[in-house]
Amino acid sequence: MKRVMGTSVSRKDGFAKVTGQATYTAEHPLPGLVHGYLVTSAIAKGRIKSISTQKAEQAPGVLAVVTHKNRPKVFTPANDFRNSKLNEARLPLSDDQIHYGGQIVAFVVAHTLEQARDAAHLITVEYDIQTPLLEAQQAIYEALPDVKFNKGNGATGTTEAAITVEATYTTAKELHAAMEPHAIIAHWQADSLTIYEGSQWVMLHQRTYAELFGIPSEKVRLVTPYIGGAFGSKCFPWSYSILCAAVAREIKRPLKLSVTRRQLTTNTGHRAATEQTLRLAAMQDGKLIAISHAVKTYTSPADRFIVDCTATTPVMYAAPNIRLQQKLGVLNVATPTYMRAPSENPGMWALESAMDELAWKLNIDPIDLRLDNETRAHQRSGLPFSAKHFAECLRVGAEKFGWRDRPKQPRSLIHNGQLLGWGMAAATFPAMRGNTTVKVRLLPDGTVHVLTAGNDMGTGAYTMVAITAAEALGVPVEKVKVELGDSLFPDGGLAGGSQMTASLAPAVLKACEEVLQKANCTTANDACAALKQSGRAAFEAIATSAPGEDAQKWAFQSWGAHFCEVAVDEAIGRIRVTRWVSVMDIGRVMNAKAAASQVRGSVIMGIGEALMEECQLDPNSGYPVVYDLATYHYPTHADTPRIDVTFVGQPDLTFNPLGVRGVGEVGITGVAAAVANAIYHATGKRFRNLPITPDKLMA
Amino acid sequence: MNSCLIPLGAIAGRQILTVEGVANGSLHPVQTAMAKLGGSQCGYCTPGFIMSLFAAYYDGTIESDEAIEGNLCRCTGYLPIRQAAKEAAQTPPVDHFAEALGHATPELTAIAYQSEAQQFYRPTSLRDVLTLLQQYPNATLVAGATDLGLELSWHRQVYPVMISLEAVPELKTIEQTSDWVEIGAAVPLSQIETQLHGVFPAMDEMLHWFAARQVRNRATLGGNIGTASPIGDMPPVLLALDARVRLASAAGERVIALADFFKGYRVTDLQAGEVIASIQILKGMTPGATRRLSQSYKIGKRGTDDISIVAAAYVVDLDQQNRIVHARLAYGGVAATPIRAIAVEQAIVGQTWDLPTIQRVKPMLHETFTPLDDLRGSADYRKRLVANLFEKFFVETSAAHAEVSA
Ligand SMILES: Cc1cc2nc3c(=O)[nH]c(=O)nc-3n(C[C@H](O)[C@H](O)[C@H](O)COP(=O)(O)OP(=O)(O)OC[C@H]3O[C@@H](n4cnc5c(N)ncnc54)[C@H](O)[C@@H]3O)c2cc1C
Repeated sequence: MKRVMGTSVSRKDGFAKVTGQATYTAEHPLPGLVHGYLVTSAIAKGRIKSISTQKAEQAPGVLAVVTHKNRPKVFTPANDFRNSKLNEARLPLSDDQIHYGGQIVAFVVAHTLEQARDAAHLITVEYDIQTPLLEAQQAIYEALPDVKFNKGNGATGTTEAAITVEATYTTAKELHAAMEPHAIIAHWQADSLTIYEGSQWVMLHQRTYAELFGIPSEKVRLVTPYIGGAFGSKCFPWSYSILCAAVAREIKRPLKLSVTRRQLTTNTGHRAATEQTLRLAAMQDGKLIAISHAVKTYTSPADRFIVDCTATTPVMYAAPNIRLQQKLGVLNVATPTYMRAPSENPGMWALESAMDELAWKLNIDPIDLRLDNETRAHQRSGLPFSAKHFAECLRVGAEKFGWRDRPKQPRSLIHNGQLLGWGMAAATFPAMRGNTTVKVRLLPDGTVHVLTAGNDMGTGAYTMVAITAAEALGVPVEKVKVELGDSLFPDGGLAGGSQMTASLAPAVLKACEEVLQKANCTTANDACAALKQSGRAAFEAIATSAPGEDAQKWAFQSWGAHFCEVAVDEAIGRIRVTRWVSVMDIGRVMNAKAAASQVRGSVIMGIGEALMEECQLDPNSGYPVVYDLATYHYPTHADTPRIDVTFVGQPDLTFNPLGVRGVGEVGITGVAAAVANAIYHATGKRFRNLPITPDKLMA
Repeated sequence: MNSCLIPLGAIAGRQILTVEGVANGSLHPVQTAMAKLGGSQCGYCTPGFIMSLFAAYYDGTIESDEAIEGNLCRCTGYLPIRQAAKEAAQTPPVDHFAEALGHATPELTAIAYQSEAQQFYRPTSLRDVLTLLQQYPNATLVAGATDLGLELSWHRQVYPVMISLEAVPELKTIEQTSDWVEIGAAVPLSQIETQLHGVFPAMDEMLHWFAARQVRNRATLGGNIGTASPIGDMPPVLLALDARVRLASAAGERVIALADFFKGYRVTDLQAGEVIASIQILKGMTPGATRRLSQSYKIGKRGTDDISIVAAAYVVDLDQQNRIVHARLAYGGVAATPIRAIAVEQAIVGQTWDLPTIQRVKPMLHETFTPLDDLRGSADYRKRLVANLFEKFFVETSAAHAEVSA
């Protein structure tokens, strides 16, 4: 019966997308729609002394001008990740305080977008300006007790025989820069609210709006059939969403707000910059005896956002002594949020760079150093890994890349007047799954309908769900109609943490099985025959899947290895990634094409992080000086090497009945380190501050 | 082309095709391939890619890197899109679009749109342009609008009177003899790319890295020098080639050296009522020279679709003895205007074209300009580029010459 899973299946949503028929948030046509426009703060810290809105109010077409003085009423939600969650705990326009450059200070509504925008530019704000804290060095830090971990005698457990590496690595403030800018349409009908908004977690979005407006969840409908990329930036409502929904209620019209590219930089999150000090101590034979990982990162005054950048350190390498700690500072910088492998990606940048430095110091092949220190269990929880084919990732990758034949010395590979360098790094990401429910209907003509509120932000969920149902029922994929991203459907959980596939696929499988049980048949064919005979309209089942007891027994983790080649022109500071091999162990591969594409997209985002992505702030205003996709550089096709992706390993059946672990994020971990390690091999220079831009190379 | 850069008036008399309009009953081959090969993930960039591939499908460049150089994708890693392009190329373009492309494009007609606050004119002769300019000396000239378009949409600039140069035949032709080339100020760069291919290697190279195809289909030389941006890519090339600018007004014409056209940061010598009519470039070498070396370089933060950190263009004429008889070293991104390193040019004339000469002038080149630190690159990096790019030019052209004479 296994014919569909693991093969390469074309996307179910492909047709809609290539014909322009896929409807994204800002495209839903509603009669009487009016438009909003945000006014954001030009200073990073201080107080609004006065705000003059009179001209804007009198401008043509203007329906409302909202500031902190006349802000609409909303309730303060629990913000507990269960009943509700906001990206920014401080409610929009809640007072006259300015916490960061680009913070919303007013919201204008007019009949047309142009009218709203023109009116917005008529608003003038007078500020009491205070000196903002913009630089990480200036922040006051507090230690985070939850991150703190000591095993053995911490990193002090070094003996005299030990070889040590200690260095500080930094990552820059990065933007998600999804192709679709954030937008929302809020439509009230009596006391019911319909929200069109890109959401990675439809049901939590729904509950959050319900809490904000003090109405039952059933009164809120969230519609998000297509998301033009999110990468973590569309998990929860942002301040602009709250404002838009609240003002729509007051003006009693459907209201749309499209956040401009520039405003996205401060109102929809970013990956916080980090500073990480890694200390590794090993015996001469390469056995690690101590790992210490100390992180400094920040949040904004408007929220307490934390990701634990040390999370993967006790996962990757075994050592008798481990010390982890993280400190959090508060800066007058917009609120950060989750971004693709939020903790793992920055953490692995530091760890995998340090491992490379150690390998050079010990004169051991970096692959061997990793194999010599491989873990069998998570060193924090003590739980063994359910499945781990990390060694195979390294072996297969090395073979495909030709790793073992490389000239070892830095600066020893020269081609066409350029220095070539080879580097490698490991990848890892935890496997997670959540509660999800799906509804499956089998119709007499063999059509299968699958409905769930879970959604597809480009990851391939439409196709994955169809594949699972096709497999379970033995029908062609074309016969499966999938509808996603609507809170009228059963709770589909979170499209984040790489868990959509792992969570949804088992539920789909279970619902399909129940459909067959209800039909009292073993195949969909028979069930259809039964339907036709009985005249019944459909067999239908709703099934839920949830993580079981196994999570207490096992640690679930995906693994991988990256190998890359860079070509460096030292005369002009040009670094090009010229070749890439990634090998991943993600459990069962549901759709080879989609999975490889997820890895490839991750690698390219990682290359961007390594070489160009950086959102700098104006040192005076604190406003990002990067404001669109021409100034926030991420790789174009010309920056993209051929990326060879291979999967190894087996279905991880302890994790879920399908053995599938998800693939959205593991691919980006380790990428930046692999690039920096290759640059070291090419040039003999170690770069520890991302991104490695031409001027840094030549400095 | 990029729809967001096109003023409404400019589309009068044109057919507009969008992603919704390329399917003809069944999907277009480009759409089929993109859907089949996973060229679309989140899908938001897909219409743009489809349209770029659609255009490239008919002009035979669909399998080239250029076909998608101006589109960004944040999901796929581009590979499936390239694969889709290859696959689409397997179906030959015989359909009603191909047929329509076989017919001559209807000439653009004159238009004059007037609203209370704004006027938009599209005259069809240079004389009419000049008459309009007499009437509205402060009117804004619009060529490809790839610069002005940003002013309009992004900076919400309002231009009371706009005069489009798109339908002016005198400004839209390239003339060429064995001795010189004259490029109309309103010729799109992509037309220069094809029509003058092989004439000026430095120009070919720079055009290749200029923005991306969508922009080059609209952008013009008149617009590129009209902005006098210090980081415009073509001025260094044109300066290195000693280009001259022909300026026209109702009072008559004048021709000046491009070097004299740039007056200061974003200030030109263009007078009210004047229009840049053409760029003139001599083809030949300096008398006494037997060999010309010329190349250009663009250093940006990413591969395509980027503004220069530094752009450089070089022309070196050598005599029989390999002595430098003429040198032009022109740069963008290092001063308030595009600029030549005149002192260095003078210093190397008469010297032998060899590595010691280059090494001798490198320190001087390094100190020639005092560029600024900005987001694209540090001042120090720029100064090093000014010197190192010249050495790179030497190394590359010497290697090429060695091959030729071998
Ligand atoms: C995405 C993108 C990428 C870009 N990349 C690059 C790049 O890589 N390199 C680069 O150099 N530039 C780049 N640009 C800028 C722009 O494309 C160029 O400057 C282009 O040459 C402008 O030409 P245009 O015909 O579009 O000018 P327009 O926008 O029409 O006009 C620009 C200015 O010149 C004036 N002008 C135009 N024609 C004449 C004339 N005949 N006489 C007098 N004045 C005139 C106009 O009044 C206006 O002030 C980019 C722009 C975009 C949007």
